[in-house]
Amino acid sequence: MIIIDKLVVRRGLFSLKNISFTVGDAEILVVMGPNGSGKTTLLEAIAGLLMIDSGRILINGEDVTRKPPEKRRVGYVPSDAALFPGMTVRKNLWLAYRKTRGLSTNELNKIIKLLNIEALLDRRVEELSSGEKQRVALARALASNPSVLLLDEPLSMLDPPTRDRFKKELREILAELFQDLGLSVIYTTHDLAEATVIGDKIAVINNGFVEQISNPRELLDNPRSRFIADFLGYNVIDGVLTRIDDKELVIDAGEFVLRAEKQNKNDFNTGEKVLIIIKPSDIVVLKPTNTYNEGTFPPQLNIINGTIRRIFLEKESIRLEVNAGLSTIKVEAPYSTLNDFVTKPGNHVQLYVNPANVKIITMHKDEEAHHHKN
Amino acid sequence: MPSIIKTTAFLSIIFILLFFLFIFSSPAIFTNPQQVLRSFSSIEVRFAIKLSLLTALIATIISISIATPAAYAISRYSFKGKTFVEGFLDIPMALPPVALGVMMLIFFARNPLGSFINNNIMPVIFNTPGIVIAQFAVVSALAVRLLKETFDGVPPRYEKIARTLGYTELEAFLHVTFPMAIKGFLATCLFVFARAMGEFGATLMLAGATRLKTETLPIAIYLSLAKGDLEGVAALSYVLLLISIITQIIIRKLLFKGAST
Repeated sequence: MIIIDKLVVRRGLFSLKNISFTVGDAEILVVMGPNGSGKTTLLEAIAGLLMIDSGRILINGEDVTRKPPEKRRVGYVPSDAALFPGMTVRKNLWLAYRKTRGLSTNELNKIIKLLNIEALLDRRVEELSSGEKQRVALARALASNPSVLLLDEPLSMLDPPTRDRFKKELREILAELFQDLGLSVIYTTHDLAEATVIGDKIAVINNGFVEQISNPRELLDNPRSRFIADFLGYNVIDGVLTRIDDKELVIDAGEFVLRAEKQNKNDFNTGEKVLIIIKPSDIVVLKPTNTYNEGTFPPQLNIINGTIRRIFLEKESIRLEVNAGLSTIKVEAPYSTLNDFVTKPGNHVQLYVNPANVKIITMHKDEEAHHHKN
Repeated sequence: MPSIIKTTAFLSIIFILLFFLFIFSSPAIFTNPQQVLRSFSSIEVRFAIKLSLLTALIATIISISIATPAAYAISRYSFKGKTFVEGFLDIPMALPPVALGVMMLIFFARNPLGSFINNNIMPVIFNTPGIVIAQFAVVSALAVRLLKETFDGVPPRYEKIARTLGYTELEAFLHVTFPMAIKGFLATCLFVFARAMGEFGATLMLAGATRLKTETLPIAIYLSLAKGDLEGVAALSYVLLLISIITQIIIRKLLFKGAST
């Protein structure tokens, strides 16, 4: 188990700000954020490879904040694997194993087998493919018997087909490892699909600040800041809260008015500026023939009138960008929408969104999330 | 039409090759292979070879021992005045060895510290230790420069990885950085050794040119030339040429045989 407590690291103009989280045994925390958000800096700080300014790092209850890297038992796999060049795979593993000898040879062999690198042992590291290098780097980190494993964008150097395959493999490999070793894993990525497959918990990091930590489902359903909603590719629309009922909130977004289902912990005030967050896949493109007179929902509310700006075809869905006044609404619709009616740029469309799928964040909460940054 | 750049380039290469071929072959007028071999049995030549090898070896060991940690520090750490240190170390390399030798002569003769060393610890002026010091003065900065480039070639991240695998800073250097830098390190040793073997100007000033005392190979050439012994000069030149060819072959083998790693 690793506990990060109010970690602050300053490096020139960049800094990691007040980062706190806990990763339990046999748990994977994915740290997700764009390039330059501080993911690698965070991992290097945890590994002890750079000075921290304040805060504490506890591994299995022991304060390692002031300990050198070699005394922390933190395995680190950088994104390019960084295998020792000019050596064989076996030599790389040996260098990792001989120093700590925390594993039995049996356990070491098990790791080699699990990562499927037996056939590579006598190859020089220069002869390996990117995927093989990552597997060897993971085995090397494990060979030193760490209690925390840091994986820095392990899939980023792989080509797309290898990446997809290795992503699933990696989840299984880690699950298998957890049965024997009580590892805590911190895994960084800038890819949402990777984060949700790998992570038990996801921490979204932006500009050195953790904006949200939650399980993947909670993150996808309730992003807690404008940055996260943007990062997830959701619609983020500015609005003003005009009415609060027992069950609903009504928000004026200028060009259209939306109702949102009231969530238990909301503390809103009428007249307050808010952010409206809607997943593209929660927006329904209405057929021109049955425009809001089927009685399933009242007219005018939660209907957005707009003009199609662009259409992108994907394998199972289509993505639309719809201009509605000053806002551009992103819509993900089933592929069959194409058969229902003519969708082409310039056409008028009506969009509907269920009040249960309209999420609201108050502006001051979003600012609060960003306030810690400076 | 052949490209002008290509033609010029090849003509330049041919010119340089021919220039040195003519130069290397010209002493042959005064000597022949038998004579070169025979010169090895002369007391004076044997003394000069032994003295050169011994002093160059000592100078190399001393300068590499000091240059290795210094070069590592310059390569890995940033500290105040680092640019100054690097620039300062380039001065002895740019300075003519004769000037360096004269300055050292004045230091050991007139400076209180220098003359104390010369009079009480070990005789430097016109003595064998003077040869080693002269060679050290000429090659130490070079050793720092070459070793720094070697360590620059090993990315520091491998040391970082080694640290996470349980190695202390020193162990990481010994087990990871140094093995990766070993070829550059050996090549530097040989290059420094070859340069020390050929040192003349500073040696002449500080250690003088006393027959069978401070007579290194270059000094022996100088003494033979002074007394008009052209056969001796030619033979000795070939001995030195032979030594530099051997060193070059070894350096090239070290640097390029496993260049891919």
